Amino acid sequence: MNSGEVRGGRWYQCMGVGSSLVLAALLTACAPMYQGAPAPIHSPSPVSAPPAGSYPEPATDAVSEEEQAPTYAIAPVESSSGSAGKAVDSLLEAAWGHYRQDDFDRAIAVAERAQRLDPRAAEVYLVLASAYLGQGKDQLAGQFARRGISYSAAGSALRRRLQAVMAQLSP
Amino acid sequence: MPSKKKPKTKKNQRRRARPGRLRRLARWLILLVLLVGAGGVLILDFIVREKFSGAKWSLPSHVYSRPLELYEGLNLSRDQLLWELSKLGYRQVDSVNGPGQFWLQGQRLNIRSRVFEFWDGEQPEQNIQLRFDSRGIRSIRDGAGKALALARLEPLLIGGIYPEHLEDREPVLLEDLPPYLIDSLLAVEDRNFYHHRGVSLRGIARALLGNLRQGKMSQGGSTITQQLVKNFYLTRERTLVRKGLEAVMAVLLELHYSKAEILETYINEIYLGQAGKRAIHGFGMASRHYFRQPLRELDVHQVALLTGLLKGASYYDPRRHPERALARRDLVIDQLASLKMLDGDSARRAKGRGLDISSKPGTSMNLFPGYLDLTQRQLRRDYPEKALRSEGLRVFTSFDPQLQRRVQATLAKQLTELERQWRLENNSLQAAAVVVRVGTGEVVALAGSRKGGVAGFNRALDARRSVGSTIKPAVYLTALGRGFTLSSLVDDSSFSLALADGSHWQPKNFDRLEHGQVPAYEALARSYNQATARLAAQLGVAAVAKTVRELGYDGDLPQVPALALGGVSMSPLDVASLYHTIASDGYYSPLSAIESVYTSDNQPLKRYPRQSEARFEPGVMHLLQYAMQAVVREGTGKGAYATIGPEVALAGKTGTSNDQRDSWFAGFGGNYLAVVWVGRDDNGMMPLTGSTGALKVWAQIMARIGVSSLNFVQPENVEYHWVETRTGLLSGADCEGARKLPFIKGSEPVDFARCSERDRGGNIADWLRGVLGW
Repeated sequence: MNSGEVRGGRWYQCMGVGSSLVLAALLTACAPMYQGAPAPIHSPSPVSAPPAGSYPEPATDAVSEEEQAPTYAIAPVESSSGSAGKAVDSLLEAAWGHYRQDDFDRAIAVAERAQRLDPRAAEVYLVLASAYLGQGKDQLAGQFARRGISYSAAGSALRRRLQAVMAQLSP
Repeated sequence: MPSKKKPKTKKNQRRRARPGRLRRLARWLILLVLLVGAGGVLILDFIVREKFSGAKWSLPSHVYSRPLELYEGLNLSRDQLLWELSKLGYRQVDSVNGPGQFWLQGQRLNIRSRVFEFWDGEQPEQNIQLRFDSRGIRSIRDGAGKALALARLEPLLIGGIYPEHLEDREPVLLEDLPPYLIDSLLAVEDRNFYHHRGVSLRGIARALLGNLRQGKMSQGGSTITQQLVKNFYLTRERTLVRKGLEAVMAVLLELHYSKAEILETYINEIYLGQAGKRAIHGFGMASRHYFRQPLRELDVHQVALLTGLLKGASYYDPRRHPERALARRDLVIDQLASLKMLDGDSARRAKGRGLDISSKPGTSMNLFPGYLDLTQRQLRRDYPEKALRSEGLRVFTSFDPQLQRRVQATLAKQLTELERQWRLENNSLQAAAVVVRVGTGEVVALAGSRKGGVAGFNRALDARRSVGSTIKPAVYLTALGRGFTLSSLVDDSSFSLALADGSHWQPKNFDRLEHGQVPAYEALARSYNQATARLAAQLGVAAVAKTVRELGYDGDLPQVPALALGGVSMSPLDVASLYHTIASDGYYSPLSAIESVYTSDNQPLKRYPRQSEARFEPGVMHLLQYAMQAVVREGTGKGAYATIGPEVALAGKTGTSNDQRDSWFAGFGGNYLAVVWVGRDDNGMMPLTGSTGALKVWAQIMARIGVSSLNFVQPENVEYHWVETRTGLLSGADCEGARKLPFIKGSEPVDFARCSERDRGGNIADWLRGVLGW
């Protein structure tokens, strides 16, 4: 083997090692930084028992304070009306019917029934805001419109309608 | 023979003049008597007309529960619905053919609801077909089998505000009467009603003859008109003068008013029983009292029972003297048959029925005094006392009798259990509980005492007790609104605060330990006093007090550092008001029991519409709700999950006052918020903390009322980031002690923890991009 061959061989070896290192680094870099796995919940230290007083210890079958909480992560959920969806829709339809006939009192009464079933339904607040606006009760209209906006999806038609109500309020 | 005339002497002249004077005197006397008599009749006439034409009675205000709304998926068992139907007086039948009836077979239930005038319109009668499974209502359809989105039952009468004389009545119109009521009334009391002018000589003669035959005064001979006069205007004393007045007034009444008006008034006036201290007057209320049904639904055997009571409501009381009542009822039925008002077959069928009364009176006085107390207090803001006790208002509330039963039963049971576990004297503990619907501010249940149904000191409204750590969410809310985050480190070491009077305040943790620098969420979850007090001192007492006010408290707030640790006394309802704003994502609604008020003749009078005021930014409230979930998942409230399934997300806070005189827990899920207080009326010490006392009661209540998971939706301006809790710096998921926490966008830490991959050069691609400027 001549020196050129040795030199060439060493170069290829260095190239190979370097490439491998870069490849390994790149592969590592492309791995997601955040795993998205559930948060590891601390195993909390037990809540201390109250200071000893003049009371006797509870009976032997008393429930211990040191129950371990199951490891459920505290995480946000998608908004849902739960099991009352159809009922809420039916009430909102009725409420709009009263609204269109300028029967604002009835529209409000029916919308409040819907609110009871799903207090986070943005359309409930649209009905309330619209009906109060119809009655000239701007303050109430504004209160409910604001609440409806916070429960509506960004860019949604509902949000635009709620914002339209806000725009009609006297300054 | 010449007539012997007496000589004309003065004496003889006087003798001849005497008869003339006597005649004149008699004439004057007769005239005087006639004048007095006429005057008396005029006065009586005025009395008769004045009372009959005006408001005839002082009518109590009646208070009603929420109407039960039924829909597919509702977490309501068949038995729970059957309970409500029984309270509403619905009858189980083999085949439903009228309102107020239901048919039951296994998990299949068909109901025909009653008509009811709601604020949003009249609810007609409706056929409702329900099917149940283990989770509740599986399907709901109308009579034709078509799916129903929603059905509503009428509300339940839960109590009243009574006049001083404690007469209870539910006025009815003639057109609302059931068949046979008028017939039976006339058959038994006054067969000649439509023919006499108030007094019946024939009736008097018949009664006299009957009494002579029996050798005793068993028949009165009074007409219905006379009976009405006796009950409506006069007393029950049996004197000739009273009888005379009665007769005159009866004639006057008939002169001015029609038979229909007199009959209707009689039907609503007559005494028909006793419910404790309350006197049951009128057939309308009697129908509720004995059968729990509206009068128009009664069958002939029930009508006959009520008519039979006219002769002696106590003597023939069907609950105390069932055989007498049955015999009297059958006699009435026989009279109807004998007068051809009822055919033979119908009479036989009617006599074959049992008494058919409800097991308990339908008009028990105020079974839910705590809630009624709240209702009355809210009513008194708008109506004078006199109106409440006399105008027959109909008050509709958000009260849920199903929840109330469970709350009351749980309080009683859990307190007994706590006393047993801690070897405390029986009945030494007291409690109060308030349950509110999340999002609307409706108070749905309220218990002012461990024992249900007992009026007295209402602890839910009037027990102002030191709130302890239940106030701490207000401190952290203040901090979060001023730029703090849940990962901000707060110092839990000992400290001493100089007060204005020169003394020093040295708050201590419950475990007497120091915990160093801890993230804010953990300081709240574990209820660290030192960290919270230090944080509050940094924020300022005034700022914390302002937050408490904005959450919904308008009572006295001491402007002292100890406010941060609960150095303020509130009622359970006050605490519920604060926590409802938190549960409602920062929207304040005043807590209310009343929905609407109607007049006695069912005209809408006033609505109490809901209010909603944005007091806190929803993103900030999301952060606080996170920390309060941590209280229940891993902090001082974690004992809740010994009772409630872990899949149910809950948020709350424990509270224990100094020397453990008060044990609190306030918390909420998706549908309900509840506040529970446990303590001693003599303010004595207990071995209980918020965790070992009120929390356990709260968890049982929430489990029994079916609390749903918190609807913990992420607002647009909130992002979740991994942080290393020890340092408060951004991190990766794999760092020790890392936790994903919510932040208001832009408020998250900017620096990374040493443990993160970035610090170890983990993200080469980012580094390369940084170097190469890509």
